[in-house]
Amino acid sequence: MTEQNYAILPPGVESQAFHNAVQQFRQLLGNENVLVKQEQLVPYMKIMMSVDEAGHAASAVLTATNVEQVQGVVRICNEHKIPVWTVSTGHNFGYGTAAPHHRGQIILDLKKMNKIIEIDPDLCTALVEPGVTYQQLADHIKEKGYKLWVDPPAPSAIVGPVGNTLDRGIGYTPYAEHFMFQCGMEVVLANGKVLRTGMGGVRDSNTWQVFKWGYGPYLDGIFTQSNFGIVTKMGLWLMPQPDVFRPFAVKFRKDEDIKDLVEMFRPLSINGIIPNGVVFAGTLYEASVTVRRSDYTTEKGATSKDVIQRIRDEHNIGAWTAYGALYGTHEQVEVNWRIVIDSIKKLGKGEIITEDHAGNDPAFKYRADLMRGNMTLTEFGLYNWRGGGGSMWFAPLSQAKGSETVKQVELATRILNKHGLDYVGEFILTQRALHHVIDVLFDRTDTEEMSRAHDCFAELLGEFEKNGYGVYRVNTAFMDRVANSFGPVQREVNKTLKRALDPNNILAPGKSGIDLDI
Amino acid sequence: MSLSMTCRCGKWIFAACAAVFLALLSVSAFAKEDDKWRNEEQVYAKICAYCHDVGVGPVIKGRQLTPTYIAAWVRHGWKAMPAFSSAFIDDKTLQRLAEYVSQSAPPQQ
Repeated sequence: MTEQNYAILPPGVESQAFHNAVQQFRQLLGNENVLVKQEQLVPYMKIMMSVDEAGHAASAVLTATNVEQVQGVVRICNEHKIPVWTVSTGHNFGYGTAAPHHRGQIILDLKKMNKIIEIDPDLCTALVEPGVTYQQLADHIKEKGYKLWVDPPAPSAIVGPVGNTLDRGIGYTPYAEHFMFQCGMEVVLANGKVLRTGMGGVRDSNTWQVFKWGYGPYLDGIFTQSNFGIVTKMGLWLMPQPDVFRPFAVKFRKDEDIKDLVEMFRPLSINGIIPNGVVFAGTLYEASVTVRRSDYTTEKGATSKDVIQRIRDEHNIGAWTAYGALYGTHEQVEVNWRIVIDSIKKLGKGEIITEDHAGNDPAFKYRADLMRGNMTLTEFGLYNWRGGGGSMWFAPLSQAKGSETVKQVELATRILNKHGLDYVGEFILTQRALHHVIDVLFDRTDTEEMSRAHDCFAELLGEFEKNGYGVYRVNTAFMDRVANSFGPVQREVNKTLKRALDPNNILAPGKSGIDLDI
Repeated sequence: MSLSMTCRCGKWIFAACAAVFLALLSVSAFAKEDDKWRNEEQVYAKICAYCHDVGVGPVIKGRQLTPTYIAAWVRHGWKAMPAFSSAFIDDKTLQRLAEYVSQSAPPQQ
């Protein structure tokens, strides 16, 4: 392939114009940071969704190392009307990974922008670039001797706070709602200007990372799950290391127990007795740490109730396992532990597992690691349940009410089973809401199963919408579909913002359904 | 626990190799001016081991997998094994880690 003979072109861009743009990118970034050969683009093709990779193949990948280069990329993209899809670490598993929304978009990979610019150990704040991983941040904190914790999502070590927060991801410590604990952004706009949000607009301000709101409209939100700018720095708050950390689990034996356990845990969460993102893990979610489906059956289709019960019996796994933790001084934790114990006793069911009781149980260990911000990738055991590398997160929100969780679990299980797939789900409680995260797992090497998974995901979205439920996040193949769930007015407002901030539609068109061409 | 990665199919072996290279990824993640990896063992421990030493991915040490083979799987990914770009782990570091894994002794039982 000659330089002028590109395998994939950005939509609407002629080969010669693209070649001219590539030459400009090379001048700006250096040859080593402009990737156009197929073997260089291969890592960005690996997806887990139920669609053909070809539909999400990039025409080129650029890597930038500083803000000025990002500005330069935006300028060139504007000149040639080239759409650019930005990633930070490129590991948004189950949501599209690093691949662009549609074929031909170039990828701007910010992994090399990995500076930890500042950590204030007194104010417990950090300012980082997009390529910083949680592992890097945690190691840096440890090296400096700061008594601070990070709050990673499950892929902890190989993802970072900027990307996860901008996609409004969640973790498992008391700082689980990542966007709630974000403070201040630097954003390269489509016109090339650099915006600092909130207090960052004030010259010589030292309050950029301590006060979220600034003055006037609060802007940070419009740069999450959107395509209105490229975030090049982000502030976040770090959790002070508590004197005592006490993780625990409570096993419940029956499917219907989800109703009562949610009712019991909700006030404990709202009142701050249990301050972290409490998890209620379903049987197969919990089992995936130690069990593969093929250990029990090789038949295609949904796993039978009998098999699920055998797994519960043979591995001592509950229908639901709640994971929470207490944090604070010794006295605080003792008082709160008594409240938790009393609540469970009052409920009259639920087997309490402490860290001592759990021993070497790998499921307990990785949950405890997540709840204290340690790095672990043990949750990737999910991908072993059915095998084959197919994974799409179906993640509807639910009120933190037991009756709602029962309704959602029954609805999801019925649809998944209808398509020959399993309910592998958990709820994450943050006071009043539950993120209901269901991993739609399938074998991507089996085209028939992949087709079923695709239909299943579409039906899940449709049926949940009919019942008034919306998802908090979705993979790139279904973004436009989900945008419809939130109504025409939201779509029009987003489009109005897009027209104003990015009239050439160069920044990640399609992200969250925002695209001036549709 | 029933995960016996060593008896899985060859594709899983590939996946394991790829996972090894996850470790490589982290090299650049730590590439701050004042923050260097001590050696390949540290890279392995910080990334690869999270899957390959705990039964999530197959054991990859002590199998004499060739560095070329390992590097290919890191870049391509396979099934559950993510792909890692050169931005995450540069070619030289990947080569070094691949050689380390290739020449490593089997893990202690």
